[in-house]
Amino acid sequence: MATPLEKTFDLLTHTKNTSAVGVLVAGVDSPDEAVQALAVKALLARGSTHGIVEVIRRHQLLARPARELVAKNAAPVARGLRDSLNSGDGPLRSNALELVRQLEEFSELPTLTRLLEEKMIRDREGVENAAFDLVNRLYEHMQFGTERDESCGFLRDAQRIRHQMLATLESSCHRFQVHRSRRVVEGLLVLSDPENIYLKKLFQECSDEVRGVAADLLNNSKHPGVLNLIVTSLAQNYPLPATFSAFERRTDPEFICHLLRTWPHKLTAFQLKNLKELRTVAWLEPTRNHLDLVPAALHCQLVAFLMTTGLSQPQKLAVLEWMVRFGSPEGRLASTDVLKQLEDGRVQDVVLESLDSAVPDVQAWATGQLRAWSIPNAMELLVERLDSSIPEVQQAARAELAGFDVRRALEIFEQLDPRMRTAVGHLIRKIDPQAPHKVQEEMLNAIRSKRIRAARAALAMNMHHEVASALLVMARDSDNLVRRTAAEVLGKVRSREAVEILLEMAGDNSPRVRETAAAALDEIKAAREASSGEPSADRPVPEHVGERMPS
Amino acid sequence: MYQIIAIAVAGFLLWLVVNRLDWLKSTRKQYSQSQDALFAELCHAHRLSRADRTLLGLIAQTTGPNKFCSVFVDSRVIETFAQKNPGDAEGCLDLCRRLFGSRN
Repeated sequence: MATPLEKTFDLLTHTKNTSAVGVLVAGVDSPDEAVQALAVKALLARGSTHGIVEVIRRHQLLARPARELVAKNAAPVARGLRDSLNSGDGPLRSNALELVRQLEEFSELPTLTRLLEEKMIRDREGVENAAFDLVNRLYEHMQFGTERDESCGFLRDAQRIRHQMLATLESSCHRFQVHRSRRVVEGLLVLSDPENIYLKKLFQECSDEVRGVAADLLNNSKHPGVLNLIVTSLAQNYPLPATFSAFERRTDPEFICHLLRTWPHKLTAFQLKNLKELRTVAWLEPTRNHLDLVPAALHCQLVAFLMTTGLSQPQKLAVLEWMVRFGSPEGRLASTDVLKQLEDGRVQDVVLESLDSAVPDVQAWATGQLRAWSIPNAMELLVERLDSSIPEVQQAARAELAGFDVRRALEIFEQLDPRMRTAVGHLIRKIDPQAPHKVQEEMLNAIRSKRIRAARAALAMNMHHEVASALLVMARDSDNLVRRTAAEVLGKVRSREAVEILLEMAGDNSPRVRETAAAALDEIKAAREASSGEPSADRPVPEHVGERMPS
Repeated sequence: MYQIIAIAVAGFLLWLVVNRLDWLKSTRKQYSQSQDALFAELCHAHRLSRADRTLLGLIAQTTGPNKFCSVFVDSRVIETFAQKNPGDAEGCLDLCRRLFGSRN
C-alpha cells in the first residue's frame, strides 16, 4: 500500500495541472532526503523542461539519493540541459556543464560549440573544457576492446556519435575566427582518422589560420588521439603533409614512445614508402639528447624505425653508435646486427672501450662482441673474462666460448700434451660448470671406446675425483678393457670407495685387470706412505683397508 | 418583419450561448491549471474531510500566494502553524499523520 507521501507525489506526477511542477520544485528544496528524492523522481517522470531545469539548478545542493536519480535518468535530464546551457544564469550553466560531462551528453556538443561563439559568454573556459571532455570520453569509449584500454564501457553507437561530433567540430572550425578555440580543432584531430572526410575538409577547406592551428597541434598536442593520428597517417598512400611534418619535428617523449610502442611487426608497403621519405627526424639526432628519453624497452623498435627512415647513412650510423654505447642490451644487440651489415669499423673501438665500462651490462655486451668484431686477442680476452667478478661478463664469456665444450675437448684431448690437458680441463670447467657431469655421462656411454676415452680424459683433465661414481660403474663393466681403465683411474682417486672396489678388482677374472688393480692399490699405498704414513685429510684411507692392501 | 426580428434575437442568443460556453470552458481550463484545483485534487486524493480541508486551507495561506500546495510536500509548514496556533495543534498533528505518514 502506498504511503501518504507516495500518494501525493504520484498525483503530482500524473496530474495534468501544470501547477504541480511548482509544488514539486518546492519538494526538491525540502531538507528531507526522501521528499527530495520523490520530488526529483516526479519531475523527471513529468518531463517538464521547466521542472528539470530547476532540478539542474539545484543539482549541487541535492542529497545523494536525488543525485543518483539524476545520474540514472540521463534521457529526461537531457531535456533540460540545453535550456540550462543557454541560460545566462552562471550557476545553472555551471551545473549543466557538470551534468553534460557526468552523463556524457554527446548531443550537447553543438550547443557548447555555439556557446563558444558567444562573445560575452562568462564561463567560456568551462564550456570549452566540457566540450573537450565530451571528445575525451568518446575517445575513451572508442578505445574499448583495443589492447590499450578496456577500463571504460562499450558505447554501442560510438561510431555514429563520432560522425556527428566530427561534423559539429568541423563546422565549428569554419567559425574559428569567432570562437578562437584551439580545443575545437584539437577535438577534431583526436576523434578523426587519416581517412576521415572531416579531417580532409579541415585541411582543404578551412582558413589558413585554422590549418596553421591544426598543424601546430599535430606538432605539439600530447593527446593520444592526436599521436595516433600522426602515426597511423603514415599507412596512407598520400599522408597529410602536416602529419609528415610532425613526424620530422616532434621531439617530445610522449610522441616518441607512442610511435615506438605501436611500431608494427610488419610494415605495409605505404608505411615503408612514407618512412623512406623521412629525411630528417629531430629526435634521432644524437647531439640533441632526445635519445636519452627513449625507454630501454623500446630500443629495439628504435633501431627498426631508424633503419626504415630515409635518413642519411652517417646519421643512421651516429644513432646506431649511440645505441651501441648507451642502449639497452637488446637495443645494443639489434644495432650491432645492423652495424655488422654496414661493416662499420668504429664499432671495434666502441667494443674495446666498453670492455672497461663500469656498467656490467655494457661490459657483458662488449665481451659478447669480441669474436664477432674480430678484436685482436679476442680469445685471450674471453678466457680472462671467464674469471671476471661480474656474473654478467662471466656469462657472456661462457656463451662466446660455448662452442669449446666437453665433447670438443674429448675429441682433441689425446692430441694434447699432458700439461695442456690439465689447462684444457681448467678451461672447460670455467666455460661450463657442468663439464664433470657431462664427462660422467660420456663415461656411461653405450660405446665402449667412448667410455674408455671419457675416463682417460677425466683423469687427464683432473676431473677424476668428480667422476668417481661413474668409475665405480665402469669398474663393474663386463668389458675387461673398460674395467682396467677404471682401475687405472681409481688408483688416482684414492677414496675409501675406490680402495674397496680396487680390492674387489684384485680378484677379477682377467689377469690384466687384477694386475692393474694391484698396481693402483700399490700406488695408493705409496702415496699414503709418502704423506707421512697418514691418509690425507680430505680423502682418508681407512686403516682396515690399508691392512687389507696386498704388500 | 417579426420573423427577421425573431431570427436576429435567436442568432444573438445563440451567439451569447456559444460565447458563454467558450468563456466557461476557458474559465474551467484556467481553474484546472490553478493551485486551487491542485489543492482540491490533493485533498481528494488524501480523502480529507471538509474540516480537514478548511484547516489545511488556513495553514496553506501562511505559505504565501501561489505556493499553498507546498503544504503537501513540506511538513514544516503544518508544524509551524501548530506551534503558533496551539488550539489547532491536535488537528495539525492529525493532518501531518495523514499527509506524511507516521514519520511526523
